[in-house]
Parts: sequence; C-alpha cells; structure tokens
Amino acid sequence: MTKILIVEDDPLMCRMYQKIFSFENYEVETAADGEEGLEKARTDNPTLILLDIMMPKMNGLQVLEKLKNDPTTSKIPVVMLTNLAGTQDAETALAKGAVKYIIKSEQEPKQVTDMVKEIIAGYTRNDVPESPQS
Amino acid sequence: MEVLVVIIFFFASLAAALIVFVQVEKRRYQAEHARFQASLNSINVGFMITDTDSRVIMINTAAKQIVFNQDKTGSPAILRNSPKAHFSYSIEEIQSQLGTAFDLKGQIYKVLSDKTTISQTNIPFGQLYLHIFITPTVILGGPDKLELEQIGAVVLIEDITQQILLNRSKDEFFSIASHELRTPLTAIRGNTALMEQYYSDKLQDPNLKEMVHDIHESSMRLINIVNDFLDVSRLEQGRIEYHNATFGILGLAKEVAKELSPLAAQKNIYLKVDEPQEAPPIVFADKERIKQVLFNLIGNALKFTTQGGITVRFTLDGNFVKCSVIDTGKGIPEQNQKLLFRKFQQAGSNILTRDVSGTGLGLYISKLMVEGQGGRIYLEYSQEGKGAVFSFTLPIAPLAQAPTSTGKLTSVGQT
Repeated sequence: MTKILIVEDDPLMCRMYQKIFSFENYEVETAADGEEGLEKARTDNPTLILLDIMMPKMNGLQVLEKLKNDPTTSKIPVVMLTNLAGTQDAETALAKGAVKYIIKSEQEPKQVTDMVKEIIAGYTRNDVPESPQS
Repeated sequence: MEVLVVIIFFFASLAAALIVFVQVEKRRYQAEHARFQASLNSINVGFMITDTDSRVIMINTAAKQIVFNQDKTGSPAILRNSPKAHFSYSIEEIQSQLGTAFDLKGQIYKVLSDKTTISQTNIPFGQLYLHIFITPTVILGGPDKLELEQIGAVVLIEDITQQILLNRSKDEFFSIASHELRTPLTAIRGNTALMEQYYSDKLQDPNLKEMVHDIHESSMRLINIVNDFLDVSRLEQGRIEYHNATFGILGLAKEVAKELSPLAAQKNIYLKVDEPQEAPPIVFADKERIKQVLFNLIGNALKFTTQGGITVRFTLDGNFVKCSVIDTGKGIPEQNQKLLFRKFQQAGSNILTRDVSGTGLGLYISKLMVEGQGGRIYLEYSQEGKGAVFSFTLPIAPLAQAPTSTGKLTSVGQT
C-alpha cells in the first residue's frame, strides 16, 4: 500500500493533509517535528514524504538534507509544504533534491492528491532520481 | 583752551558714539546668536558646528542629549540634566563618549580634506542607533570673493532608534501575518473543500450545501486579501526578489487564458490570445510575477465585461515586448483614469458603489511588479461604455543571456 509520511508541526495542517490522503485510501503516518520526521522516514519506509519547512527542533531544509544524504531514505521523493509562493526556501529545497513544493494556502486538496499521484506514478516507472532536479 | 575743550568734547562724543555703536552691534550679534542657538535647540536632531581645527563652535541640546545623556546599560535618560548643560564640549569629550562607535574626529578631518559629505546610518551606539551626517561649511573667499573657502563642518546626529525598532516590528508583523493568518485560513479552505468533495451525499440540504460553499469561497477571498496585503508591503519595502529568466510571454499568456477561460465561459464572453505571425521575442523577467500581472489584468477585464470579450495581443515596442489586454467592457470614466494605479483604487466611480469585490490593490501591485522588472504599465485607452486597453511592456531578453537559461526556455516551450 502506498504510504505517505506527513511531517508538519501545526496540528490543523497535519490533520487536514492526513484526511486528504486517507480519503484517497493512502496509508498515512505523521510526525510533528523535524527530528521525529527523520526518524519515521528511516523506520517506516514511506512511498513519499510531505515536508513542512518551518518546524521546531529541525527545520524542513535540514531534514531534507539529511534524508538525501542517507542511502536508506535518499530515494524517497520529498514534496515540500510552504506558505508563500516564490520564496527562497522553496527554491533552495528544489535545489537540494525536493521534487516539488505545495503552497499550502493555494492548492486545493484535489490538486495535492493529483500532484502526489503523478509523482508516485512517475517514480515507479523510472527509478527515483537521487540527483537534485527541479 | 576752548578749542581744546571742543576737540576733547568732540572726541569724547565720538568715543561715546563708538562705544554705543559697538554695544549696539554686540547686542545685535548677541541677539542673533541667541536666536540661532534657540532655533538649534528647538530641533530634535543633534547639530554641531566645528571650525577647521575641529573645535566645537556650537552644539545644540539634542546633540548633547544623544551623546552624553545616555545610560550605557539602559535606555537614554532624556530628562537627566547634563552636568555641563550650558557649556560647550570639546570634540575630544564627544569622541570619548562615542568611543569606537564612530570616529567623529577622523570623519570631520576627511570631510574637510576631501571636500566631501559623509552620511552614515544604522550606527549602533549603546542602546541607540544613530545616523550621522557631516558636510563642510563654506563661504565665498579669496581676493575676488569667488573661491569657496571652508570654514569648518556641520555635523548632524540623528537618533534613529525608533525608526529601526518600527521597521523590525513591521518585519515581524509580516512573518506573523504570512504564517499565522494563512494557516487557519488554509485549514478552513481545505476542510470545506474536503467536505464538498467527499461528503456531498451528506450535504443534501441545499442550504447546508450553500453554507459550506460560502465558507469555502470566503476563505479563498480572505487568503487573496492577505496575499495582496503582503505583496504590497513586500513590494513597497523592496523586499521582493525577482527570479528573472528568459521565457516566452505568448505561452504564458495562453496558460493564464486557459486557466481563466471557465470564468469567461460562465459569463458567456470570449477570451482569446491573438496568435501573431511571428511569435513575440523571448523576454527577460520573473515568470511567476508576470503571470500574476496577467492574471490581474485579464481578471479585471473579465470582472468589468458583460458583452463581447477580451483579447490579449502582443506588439513590439523598441527593446520591449508590449502586451495589451483589450476588453469590450464598461470602460473607465475619465475622472477615474488617473487614480487607477494608486493604492486601494477601484475603477468604479464611487467607493460606496463597489460593484466588484477586491481590495483595489491589483493594479497597484501589478505596477510595482512591472516597474520592478524594468517595464511600464499603463491604461492605453478607455472610454465609458466602450471598453479599455491596458498594456505593459517587458524588456526583450538580450542574446547574451540566452545560453545561461536555454534549459528554462525549452521547459517553458513544453508546458
């Protein structure tokens, strides 16, 4: 079963994304901060990770860097969650190996699941690239 | 003897007159001086005049307060009386107060020797931030009174602590606004969308359905307002970064038109992008921001058009590509045309008859964005009842820039 790991510190956002994916019959795991997210990425072997940028303990960019440097997690596609369009953080994340970013306030639930479906479909056909791409 | 008396009397009167004259002059000088000092003391910017040897000739109360009446560990003690309130200070005393914060003596010397002006801001000084400005004082001198002769320097010391604190709290406000306002709004928007999508069978009651739909619409409108306000603040503060790259403007316009076409279809009007014989040249700008401008102009045209439709057309304008959005809508009354690109303006004639929703910030934001990327935006034509033509220009990408961004260029072609 396709498993999504949601790393997001705000419970409102976390619950919303949890619903978005469980309604589409995905298995969902959640983590409330960067450290927990990194831990679960290593142990739960998710198909895809949704990663918030602003978080306590370890921010999303730091988590992303660690994920991409660890051979057990480097092939998991990461989609960043961000608040603002065109911010430096989102661009940096793409350069560091994130696949895409979701602007939380702008994308409707359906757009989010469609995007994730597309990414997963793409990466099961061709292997997930380890090298950064935008 | 009498002659002598007369002569003595004459000289005595002359001397007396001279004394009176000198006293009058001295009094006039003192009066001038007092007026000058009083004027200087009444302003809240620190002010000092020095001579060519950096001796302090005059210093006002504000300067003394900023330099001396500061508790080094706490806030400035404005009310504490300076021990030398009525005296002047030497430059050495002032320098020893400033310490390493600012080399006043050295900078005055530099101003005088280089005949230049120095302005330095954000100088941390104890608990304060200062702005120091130094300029030479000159008079016409030399044998013919035609040469500029330096007689010293004027030093302005401004306490800008409040301004800096205000800017900081503004910055904090923006990050709070962007994060804390958006998160709950996003939750409202997302959850109502989920209700409509997955629980439509439970939303049988038309009133309930409409309520959920209205909550969803309201949250989107609020998010747009928050976005507009944040854009304006960031643009006004010059805090928007433009990620300029080369891209095809025609493709972008088609993309936007495609996204907005359901709205046009709903109103039963056309929305088309004119396909020129030769595609307009590649431009050099921030694609996302230009997309926002196109959304805004076409969106506005859609709002104000009920018959006919909207055409997007490209023409060349020197080193620029001009993009025009032509509508057959209600047009803009002449008296409102000048106000269009101002903050919080709407094209309608009266603030109380707002016939369309919006913050009135769209054109203002578009203007700041287009100008920030070297272009121009303007109302090209409009007549009440006969539609309007809004145009903006963007610089054509110089050939030299093409090799670095060819990747982006082709990817744009594909999308």
